[in-house]
Amino acid sequence: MLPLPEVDGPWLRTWCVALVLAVAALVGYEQLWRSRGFEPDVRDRAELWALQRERAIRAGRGAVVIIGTSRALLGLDPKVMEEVIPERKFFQLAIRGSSPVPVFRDFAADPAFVGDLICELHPMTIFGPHPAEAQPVQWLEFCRHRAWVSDIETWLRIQFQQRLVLEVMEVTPTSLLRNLVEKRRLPVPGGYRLRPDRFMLFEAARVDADRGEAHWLKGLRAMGPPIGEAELARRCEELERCVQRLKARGGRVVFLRMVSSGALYEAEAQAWPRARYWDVLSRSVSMPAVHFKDVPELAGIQCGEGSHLEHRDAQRFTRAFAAELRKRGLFP
Amino acid sequence: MIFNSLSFAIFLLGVLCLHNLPVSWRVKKLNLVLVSYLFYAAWNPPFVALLLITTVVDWKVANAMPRARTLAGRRALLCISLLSNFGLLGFFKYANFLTENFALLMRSLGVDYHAPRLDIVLPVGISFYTFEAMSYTINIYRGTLKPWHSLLDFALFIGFFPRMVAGPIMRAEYFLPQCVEPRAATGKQLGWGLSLLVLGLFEKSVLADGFLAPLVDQAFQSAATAGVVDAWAGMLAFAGQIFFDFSGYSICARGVGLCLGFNLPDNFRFPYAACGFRDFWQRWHITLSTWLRDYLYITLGGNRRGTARTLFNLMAAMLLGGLWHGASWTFVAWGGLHGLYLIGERLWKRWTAGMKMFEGEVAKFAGIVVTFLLVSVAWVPFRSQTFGEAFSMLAGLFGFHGHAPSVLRFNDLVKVAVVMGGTCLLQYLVRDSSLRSVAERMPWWLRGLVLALMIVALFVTPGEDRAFIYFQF
Repeated sequence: MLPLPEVDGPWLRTWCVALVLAVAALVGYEQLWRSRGFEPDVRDRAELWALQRERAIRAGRGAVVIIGTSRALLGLDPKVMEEVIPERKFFQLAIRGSSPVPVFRDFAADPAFVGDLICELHPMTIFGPHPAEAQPVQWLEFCRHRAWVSDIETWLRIQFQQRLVLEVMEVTPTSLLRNLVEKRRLPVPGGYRLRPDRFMLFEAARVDADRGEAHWLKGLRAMGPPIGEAELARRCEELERCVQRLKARGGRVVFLRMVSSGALYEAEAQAWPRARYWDVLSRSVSMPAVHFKDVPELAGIQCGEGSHLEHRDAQRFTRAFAAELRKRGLFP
Repeated sequence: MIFNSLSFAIFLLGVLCLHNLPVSWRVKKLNLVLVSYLFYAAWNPPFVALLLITTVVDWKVANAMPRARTLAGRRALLCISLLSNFGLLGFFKYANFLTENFALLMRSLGVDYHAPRLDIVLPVGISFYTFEAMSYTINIYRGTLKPWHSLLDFALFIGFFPRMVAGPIMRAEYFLPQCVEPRAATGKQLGWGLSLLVLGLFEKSVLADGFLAPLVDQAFQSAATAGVVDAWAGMLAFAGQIFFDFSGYSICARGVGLCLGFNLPDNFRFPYAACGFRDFWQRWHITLSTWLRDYLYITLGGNRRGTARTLFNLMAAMLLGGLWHGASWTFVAWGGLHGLYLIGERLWKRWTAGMKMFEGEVAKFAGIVVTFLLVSVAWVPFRSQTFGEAFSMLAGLFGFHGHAPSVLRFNDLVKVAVVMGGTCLLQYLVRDSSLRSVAERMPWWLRGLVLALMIVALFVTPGEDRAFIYFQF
């Protein structure tokens, strides 16, 4: 029989010492960052998105899926939606900086999905010349080809991520090194934090709001000319085709123009005049399209940096929006 | 299911409990086969059928071989095994590559032919377990091994989960005798096995994925304009990434094997301290290089048929070794470069034989440095998606892109310098040693401290979860 390799020494003692030291160091590390204001944060990756999508499919007729951009991700809280409409189960599947159309198309084509959709339409992703579809396409691809064990792994990881600060990306050794070398200071907590249900909490006080607004305005100016009538008609037709497929399975869709404010709202209104874009779209689709300006409870809420709602405002917005849906009898 | 996942931690805990139940050795082996299939099915359940096909075909062929009365009969049986294994490998790994290249050839001859692209998912580890199965049948054909008496043992040899998807490439004569008597790890073996597992995970998750992979991606994505610093940092970082990724997997595999009472062969022995390319291949992916030596290089005649034929055999083995890594000409180019290095080394040694200036410690150190640099240069086509990317990166190394703005930040350069500088220095210091003897020389408290640091680093480095690079091969 082949001898097994072994290394002499008191291994039980070695491992006990290693584990005690490791636990002590990890507890210390956790406390250090908690004392500096960090809170647990779940990582927004394809794995979590795929898990949520799977849950939405399994929820059957009771599912209401929120798709859209970061405005929906930060602005529509599924927990609050469920408080107002407890009969339904809400799933947050919006993707930052991306057009919702690939995901909308995918749900429309998937016969396993029999729920309803809230589709947030950011003017830049739906009326802009270059709708950003790369990430949703990539995540959908991941969804299709992921191993069955992936959802179990994601669930296990979330259990750690939602409880431990040391899992936060900003406090990893590489991030620590970057901060120390380049900024000569320790990392500070960011303004965005994801919950396991993929709702993102935003604290405007932790970001530079002026810089944020300048960033969105710069992106808007660099976008190039808006789409013409023909392209708008083509895009509306595509949305309507998806609506029809969902309707055929008994599904419903609500389109939503999320709130934006200040200089950014003005710039968006100038780039895509409502009468020529949003109103055309709302007439082209056979499902309701809610513009935040049309609902006084929504119109009065302001964004933290022009584009996104702070989480307390997001809760107010969600509550008012859910009440509006209820009033219109959309998701009974 | 990958080693650096929580699901694997739970799986391993379950397997260790199952393996230590008071049941017969036969039942324990059956359990190991079943959990190995479950492990493989975690990627894609239907692909378990491929494992079964490989197991059954090679088992049947090997058992029939001694009963064949003629050499032709034995050859026919060997052909069945080779066709079956190469058939699976060829279809799943090379079908699109072959059809695309055929279409290219046709078009270059003026025939307007477009190959259909087949939607084939590559089963993980297929290159590893088919090579293991073939080595068994070839050895029986050669008469150096007798057919094994137990199908259960053979199924465990093909499917043993710790090294099923990325090696080490086992030989039947090494593994099957370990299945005869009950095996369980002692406390010392368990302690060492778990330490190997932690070390392997540290190499993979912290060094390869956490520190090096992001900046390798950045450097190669901007290969078209990479300046000297970015190109060198990207190349050296990839040399580190591929080493820690693959060596990390092999060490994990050995550690898990040891916890279950099985001894798996060493696959790496401080390769970046190699002096010369022959030495490098005795230290890097040892089980593949010995496989290529025994079943390809020696079959072609080895060094027994004169210098020219020896050099041809070397090149053929390295080119096919390159192609084994993936269906792309960039892998073949990587193999070709190593073939050239080996040929150059042979000729160089012949010319410099007996010259005093090429002996001694200084010459040896210079040899180590040159070997490391040339091996790193060869990693460029290996990592690149296209030859264009590879040439751009190589041009960047020699400053052909002028003063391009750097995409890597200062702290990235610090990371490469610290990780790669430390790695090369450590490997140089222990180059004639082994992991085990290094561990044996450490006092118990230092081992505990090193383990604690690695465990902490594993918890606080939640980088992007990447599969092991060698899974795709």
